Amino acid sequence: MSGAQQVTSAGHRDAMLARPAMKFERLVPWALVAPALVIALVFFGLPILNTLRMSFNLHVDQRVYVPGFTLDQYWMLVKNPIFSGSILTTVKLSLICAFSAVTIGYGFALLVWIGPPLWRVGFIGLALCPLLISEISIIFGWWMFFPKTGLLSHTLLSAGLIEDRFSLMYTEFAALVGLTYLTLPFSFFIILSILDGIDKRLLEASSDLGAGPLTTFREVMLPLTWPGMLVAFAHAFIWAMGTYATPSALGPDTLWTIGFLVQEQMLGRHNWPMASALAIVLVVGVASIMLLMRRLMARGGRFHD
Amino acid sequence: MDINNKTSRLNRRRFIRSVAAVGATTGFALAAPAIIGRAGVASAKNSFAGENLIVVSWSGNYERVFRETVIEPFNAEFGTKAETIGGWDQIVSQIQAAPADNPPFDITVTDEYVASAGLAGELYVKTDRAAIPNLEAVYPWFHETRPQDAAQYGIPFGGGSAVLLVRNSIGVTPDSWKHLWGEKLAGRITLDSGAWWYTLAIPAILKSPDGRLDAMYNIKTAEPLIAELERLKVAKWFTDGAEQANLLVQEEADAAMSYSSDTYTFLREQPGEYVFGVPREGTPAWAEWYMKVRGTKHGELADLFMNYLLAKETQERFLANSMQFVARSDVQVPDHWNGYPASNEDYHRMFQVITMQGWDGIMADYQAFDDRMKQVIVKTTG
Repeated sequence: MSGAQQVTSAGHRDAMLARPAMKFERLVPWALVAPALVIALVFFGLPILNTLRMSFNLHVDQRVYVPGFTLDQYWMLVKNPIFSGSILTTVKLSLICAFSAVTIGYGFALLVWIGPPLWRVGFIGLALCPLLISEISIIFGWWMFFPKTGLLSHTLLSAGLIEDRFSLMYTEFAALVGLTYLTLPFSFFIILSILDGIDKRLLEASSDLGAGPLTTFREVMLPLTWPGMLVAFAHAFIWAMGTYATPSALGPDTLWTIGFLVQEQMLGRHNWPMASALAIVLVVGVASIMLLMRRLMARGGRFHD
Repeated sequence: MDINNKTSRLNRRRFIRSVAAVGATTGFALAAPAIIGRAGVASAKNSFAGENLIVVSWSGNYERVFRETVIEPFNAEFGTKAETIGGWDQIVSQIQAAPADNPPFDITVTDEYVASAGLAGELYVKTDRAAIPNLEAVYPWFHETRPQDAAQYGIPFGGGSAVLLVRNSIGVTPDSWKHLWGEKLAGRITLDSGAWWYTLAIPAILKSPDGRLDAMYNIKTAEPLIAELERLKVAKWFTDGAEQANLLVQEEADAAMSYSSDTYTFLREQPGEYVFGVPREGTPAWAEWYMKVRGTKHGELADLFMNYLLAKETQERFLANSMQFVARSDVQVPDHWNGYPASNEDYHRMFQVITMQGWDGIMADYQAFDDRMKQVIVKTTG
């Protein structure tokens, strides 16, 4: 056997030995994510598939559904102005809510990040409060705050700032405040976690180089916190899209969100296919937002590089 | 002697056999509940002890009164572990979503709407009338207002109705539904948008010469009634009892189409604040039938409970704490219930139910009804 042949043979043997190892290496990531993947598929994938299938069933009489196949529900979503209007209303409300939550959350997180340690404890405590109370209890709190017999009106009247009692109950503003209040803690914590990873000396460096506060914010803070802002925005938006109790309890009579209509069709009207079609719209909307956020984050990352 | 001895032995043997037979029969009778699993309804006190039973009643004030006046006394009498949970429009979906042999509850309250939807899905069990002797004391109205087929399911416990509730300071006597369209209540009323069919029933009652609701069962004949609702000036529509109570307490509204179970709470907790009454034209109402749910594993206890629901003491105890009406015709009417119906004719005159046949009509065009009512809300609110 020549030397060259020996080398080839040894290389072949090594390659043969390396193949199972490479296979194993390729399987490791899958093995690691398998438990989470199974949980995701069983607890999220299957229900969504079931909901999708339900949305094509028939609703012909007082039964909650009749097995079959129809696109009537989806056609109804397009042609019925109540349903199509509810989709627009929900998206609009969720966008404003997400924007407000991120803006306010960013402000608070910045205060906590820059401020003395005592502020951190205080603000984190405040941010935790809404998470410790159920949504229904929070609604009752707003019910005591917004009406003309409520705390807000009473306080302003007592302070002489207004001449007559007034009510903010059952307005879009009240619904927006309620939704923002629910989503704000999450935005705050997400942005704070990003800020905590930034070296504060960057602010000093920026200042030393002659940048003012606004320039520092635009050129230093914004690029560094952009991913966190996007995650916070997506979280608040998704949360607001699915919440129905708060907008229906605090908003005006005509504030019909998708969540409200899902509840109405599913429970009140016993029309499971219609409720499922609306739910699928929500799922698709949320998935689209997630994809959009991923693209924006990737773009933000390239910008940062 | 032998003969005598033989006779004596025979007698003794017969005697022993007789004693054994009597003993065995008595023993079997005493042990029967344990052997066959259940005793008869009449001798049920011990045989159901410790058994669970989940009964759905209407959520809100009704649930509290039902627990205090029916569930707790029932458990005290039979040693059972019956409990009640509140429900309304989710009842049918909950049963439908559960396995057929493992329902989420054993008995449920129904009105015509919940009964119709549940019967369409075959979610209830027919009643063994022989197990409910108290059914004899029920007003015929309950059976006269629903199809015979449907009346084979469940037992009528009572019912509820809408009443006109007005803040005392407004100075309107709640004797006619027409006040809702009057100047004094313009922009001050709250009406139901969740169960909008009861709201739609008001113009149906006003426009019908005999107070019947037939016109509202078809979207075409209902159109003039819907147009009538569009003339209202509503402060805020409510979707449930809690919201209605809130609107009144917050002074966002001063008058309401209220429901009898909520009205009693207003009467008790804010005495003198409101005046209320069943208007002279009649009022939208519903009959409450408690139905055994398919797949229940407590069928015999459910029978016992349903018979207990119709016991005179149970009905009087419940009536004494509510503004509902009950099924029995021989109850003592409490002082707070002015104008309680005194005869079957009174039931027909005062209470107009949306019949189960009517629900077939409404459900055939449900989305069209719902869309029109949402347009009414847009036009009348604020």
